[in-house]
Amino acid sequence: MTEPILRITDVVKHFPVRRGIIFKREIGRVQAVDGVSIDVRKGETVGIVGESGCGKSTLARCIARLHDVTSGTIEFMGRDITNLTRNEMRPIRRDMQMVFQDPYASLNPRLRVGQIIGEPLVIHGRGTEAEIKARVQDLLDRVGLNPEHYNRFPHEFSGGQRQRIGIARALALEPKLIVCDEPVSALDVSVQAQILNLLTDLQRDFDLTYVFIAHDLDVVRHVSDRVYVMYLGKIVEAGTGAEIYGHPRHPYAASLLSAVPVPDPVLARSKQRIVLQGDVPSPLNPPSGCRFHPRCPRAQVLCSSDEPQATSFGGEHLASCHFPVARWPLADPADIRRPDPAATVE
Amino acid sequence: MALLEVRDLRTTFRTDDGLVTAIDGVSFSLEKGQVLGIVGESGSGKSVTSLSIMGLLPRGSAATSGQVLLDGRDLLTLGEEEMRKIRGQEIAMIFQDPMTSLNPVYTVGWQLIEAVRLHQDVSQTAATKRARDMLAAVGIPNPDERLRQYPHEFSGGMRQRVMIAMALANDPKLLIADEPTTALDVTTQAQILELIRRLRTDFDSAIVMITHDLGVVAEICDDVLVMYGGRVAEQGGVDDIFARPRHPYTWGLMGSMPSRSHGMDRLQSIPGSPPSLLRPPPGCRFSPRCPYVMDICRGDPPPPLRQVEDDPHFHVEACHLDAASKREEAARLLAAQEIVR
Repeated sequence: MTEPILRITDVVKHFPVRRGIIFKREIGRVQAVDGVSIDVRKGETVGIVGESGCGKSTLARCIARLHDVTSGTIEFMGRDITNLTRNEMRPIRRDMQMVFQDPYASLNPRLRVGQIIGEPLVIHGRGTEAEIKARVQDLLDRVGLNPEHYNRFPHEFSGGQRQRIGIARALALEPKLIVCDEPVSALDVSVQAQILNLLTDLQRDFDLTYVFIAHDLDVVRHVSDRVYVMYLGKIVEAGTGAEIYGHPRHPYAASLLSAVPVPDPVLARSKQRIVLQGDVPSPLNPPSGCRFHPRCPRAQVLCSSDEPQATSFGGEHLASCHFPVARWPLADPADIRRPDPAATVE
Repeated sequence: MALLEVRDLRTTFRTDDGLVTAIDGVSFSLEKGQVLGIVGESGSGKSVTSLSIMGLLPRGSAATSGQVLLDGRDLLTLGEEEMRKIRGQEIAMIFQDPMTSLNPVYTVGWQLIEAVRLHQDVSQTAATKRARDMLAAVGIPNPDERLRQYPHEFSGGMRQRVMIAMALANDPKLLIADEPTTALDVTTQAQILELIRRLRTDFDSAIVMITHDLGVVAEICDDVLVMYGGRVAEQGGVDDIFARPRHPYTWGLMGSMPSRSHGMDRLQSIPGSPPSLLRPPPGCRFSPRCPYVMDICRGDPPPPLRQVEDDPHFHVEACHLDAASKREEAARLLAAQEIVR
């Protein structure tokens, strides 16, 4: 097995909440990411999936060092980058780039497309003006845009085309790793498919590694080799796509999967759904024990007091649950509440 | 007679750059207890269709023609005063963004009670009771306490429930939901879809569901209208459309979905992007992106809506490709797709 290109160990990111005008005192902490460990191997795509507020974007920003972490370590290509300064990070950023969600907000409207894509090349002193221009036109062509559009402004492009510009910018320095934070969620279905295909092609051609963050389970399943499911700042389940989607063990992952609409009316009618009650609790004051227990259909007394540790289900499949889902797919909606006969309930 | 009958609806906007025909000949009918899905990408005209039915477009710059018959009465001929009585009472609408649809400076209870008293001659106490009951009916816990809270104290899913409660407060005959779950997480979306399913069975409401997600359509709709560039591409029963899609755009939409492309390396995407309605392509609006395009597709008039021959039900599509090729292509494409459960 190849060495991980990125290793995140026990990363915690808390945002302090302060109140007061002159003497600001801390009144709480938003526990956005709370002890997350992830390995990313060279050439693979790792998907991180979860609902809004689960901390997945904060995690992406921690990886790219756009946030300083509260504790934990981030190792990239064998080097600990957790506490590097801005200047020390600069050479690292050549190898690690980011693609953002909103193709409207992530491109400077005053710059021409050529300048936007060429900026990383200028910052890192890659070649003369003419060389950079040639490289940018090459990149435009590579992401499926017309190289003659070099002098246009972002507003002249559609959402999908803008996302292509963002991808070209990320590719400019020939990075090893690209962190994609919801790269297709703002796009129409047909355009989303184009961008997903483009990312697949680029990965093959440039030997890229992706960390792919999204809320859409189908998109994550399509692109990812391995998937991590996050809930309230913690990883609740991890494994290959086939392992997690084939038989989710954590009741949260199972509920998520059962909630995704099936694009076929016949299958949709026969499907068993787990409809979760209530909303995601506030990360300012997360529940004790297992963070999912107030909404969990399988919760027992134990779940509110003891935090479950990650248990292996064979292969790469890990889930943190005291009472994992025994049967999948559900034959009956009540199945989710039936305790696993193998597990002993106190 | 159908509850809602829309005939040849056309809406044109006057803009600085010229006339934009946002919808061009949409017809459908809807019975009680039925859910019609209008599906399409941005700019396909699906939201303009709903706003035209509601009479919510600015009268100065938008011109609507055709007929919108609600219980036989043509809404397009009514004045603003009469429409105001119909909106909220006979037709209600819920929007994509529940935050901007609620007034942040009034309590949720105040807004619900206002909605009730605008249309019903009842006392404050009776209206409050009605508001409370509606909150409970849409599954909001502690409705008495919730009535006194402001919209910012509600989560996104709860706000959408409030919007649904408000829409249902006067027992409308027709509910128009414009992307009601797009801004929500999947577990919340499942809750709201469950609620809409219940509305249809418990209240026998007729629902127009506007969405870009074929998954949502498959889950709750009876009939589907696939729109592209302001025109109807394909229309029919949900089972017919999914089992025997006959328009290349519908094929493209289905092939673009990762959930229908299990185990495939690449998705069958549609090249290019949706057309500008300011200068729409002549002939079939899908022709610039269509892999099956022929010379006839690029010239006027656009392909007419035709009944799909091998379907016993109402199923129409607008495409010049011959029926046999379409049958073969659809079967080939569907056979290649494996649906994720």
